[in-house]
Amino acid sequence: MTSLPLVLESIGDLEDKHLTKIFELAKSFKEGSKSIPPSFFPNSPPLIATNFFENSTRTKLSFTVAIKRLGAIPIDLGKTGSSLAKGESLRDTFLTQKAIGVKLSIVRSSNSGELHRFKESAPYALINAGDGMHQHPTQALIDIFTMQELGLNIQGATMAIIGDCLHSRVCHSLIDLFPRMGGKLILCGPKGCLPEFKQSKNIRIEHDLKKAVKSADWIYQLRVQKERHKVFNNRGFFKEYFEQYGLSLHKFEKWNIESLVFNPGPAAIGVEISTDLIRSKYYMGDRQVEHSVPLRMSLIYLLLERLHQEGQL
Amino acid sequence: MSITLPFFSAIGVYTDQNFNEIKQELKTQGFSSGLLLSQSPLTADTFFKQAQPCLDENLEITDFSQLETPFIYSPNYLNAPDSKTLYQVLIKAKLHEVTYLSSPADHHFLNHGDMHEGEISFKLGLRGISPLAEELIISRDIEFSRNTGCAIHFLYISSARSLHLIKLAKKEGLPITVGVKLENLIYTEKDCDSFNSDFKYYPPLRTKEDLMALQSGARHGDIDIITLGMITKPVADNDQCFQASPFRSLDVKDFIANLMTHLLKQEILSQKDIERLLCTNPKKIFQLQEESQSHIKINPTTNQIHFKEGPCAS
Repeated sequence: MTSLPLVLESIGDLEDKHLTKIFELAKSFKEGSKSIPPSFFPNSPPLIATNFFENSTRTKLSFTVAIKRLGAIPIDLGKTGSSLAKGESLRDTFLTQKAIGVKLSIVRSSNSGELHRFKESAPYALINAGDGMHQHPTQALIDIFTMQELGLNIQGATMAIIGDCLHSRVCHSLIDLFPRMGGKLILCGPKGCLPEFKQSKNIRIEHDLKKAVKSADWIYQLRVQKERHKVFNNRGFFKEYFEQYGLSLHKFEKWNIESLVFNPGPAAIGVEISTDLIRSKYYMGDRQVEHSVPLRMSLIYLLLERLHQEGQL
Repeated sequence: MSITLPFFSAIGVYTDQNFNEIKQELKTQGFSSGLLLSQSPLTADTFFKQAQPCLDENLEITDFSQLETPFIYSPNYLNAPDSKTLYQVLIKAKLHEVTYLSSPADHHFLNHGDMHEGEISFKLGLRGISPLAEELIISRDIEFSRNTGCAIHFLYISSARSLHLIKLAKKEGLPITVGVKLENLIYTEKDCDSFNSDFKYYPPLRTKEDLMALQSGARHGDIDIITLGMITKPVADNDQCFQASPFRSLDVKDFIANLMTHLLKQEILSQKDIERLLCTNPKKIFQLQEESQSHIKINPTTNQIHFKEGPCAS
């Protein structure tokens, strides 16, 4: 198998055979049937940096747990408290980490495309843990893995993504991944949350929530990222959002819907989803979090395997 | 065959801090005159024609009786003056026969954007700048021109819709002229794909349809001048991602080569078009004078450019 790319910036960096291997390995880690071979770290466990320059709960925790479960050593760096706050460049930060023995870095940044320029000359292995509004490839992989583990057949299925598609990096990665797995997408939300987008046979835009959820096999809900809105961010533009685009058991009953609801979190109760729905059998947010550790273990393992084969561990 | 142009250009430079360097670079490249949008009055300069801000440091309307130039502009290029203020400015400007240089940008709609709002900005997860930000101000300023009779020159436009609005205004006989940056006649949003910050221009590169409309406008005389400069922040050793990179302008020394390669050789513009857009019209609109009788000779085959002292032979 071709090795994983040294820099995983977006879903487009992964070939189909990579996807197959990532999901297979994640399943093995989930079931406990896979562990790191003793010969993997001949000298000492590798250092893996978690460089999170933006707030995170689920992604950072699950990457840290994944690193520890693989027997590697996580070291943490944020923007505040590091020399980045003094104006040091990201490249120099990476080179400093490399010099102290870091082999792989997990990076979250508020800048879209932050890792793109490192693709041609990567200082070490890099995984994008979310960059601005651009991509969140590992979350999309977790989502697909969760769907597979729930026995959902993506081939030929339609998923409605409800919410702030324009400002969501998860949405961007799902747009790249879900159709590749054979599914179709409906993007649904108000103007200001949807892209000026040429629709294709696999992706359509829908402003009517009822039409979108009635046409879909399951739902993927996104938060309204008010902090990323610069035009539609004042004077109560989103005041009626819950009424128009929020999901609740009441709407499910009224529209006779029994769809699973995925949500990458954090979910804003009362803004986009009701408490009763989030506590119901339909809500899959917790299942996505459960699958985040084995999936991220799989990615880290495959990158360490590449470094091992290249004699870099 | 070589091309000979008595060279002028309209230059919008929004800082005069590096004014001497810019001037030197322009002279080296064969430009013989230009327009400087200066925050503070310059000492007499034969190279640059000067425009002055329409508002003073207290954001009061400038004292028109003290103006040393027939051109005024908004001091903040990414923020057109509010309607009430501009209306008063234009009434005064008309009285003093001063032309208002409009930077068409409604900052409420700039969205802190990095590029054109469209397919590519969505793909790259970058904030988009809607053409609405430009078109709103163009519509408003045209209405003000009709109402006050004041002459307005739009420093740049980037969308087909903007051009359409200006064509209608000109057809009506309003005193409106317009410039376009060379970048917007050559490149599109697609050039920003792959996060190439070399193409992070302002106004942003827009769609193929916009590009073709602007090219047609330049060819048929709807666009008056090709503008150079505007933002001249030097970008040296850039190791920042697209989002963190500053907006830039086509380098002065790349200007002619790009003009030759992308417009003249491709027969999008003729030599006559270029002479009109870079020499005749700027001279007329900005009342430019040549510092010296100079001209440039361009060899279209080799792209070689020769700056010559002395009067133009042709």
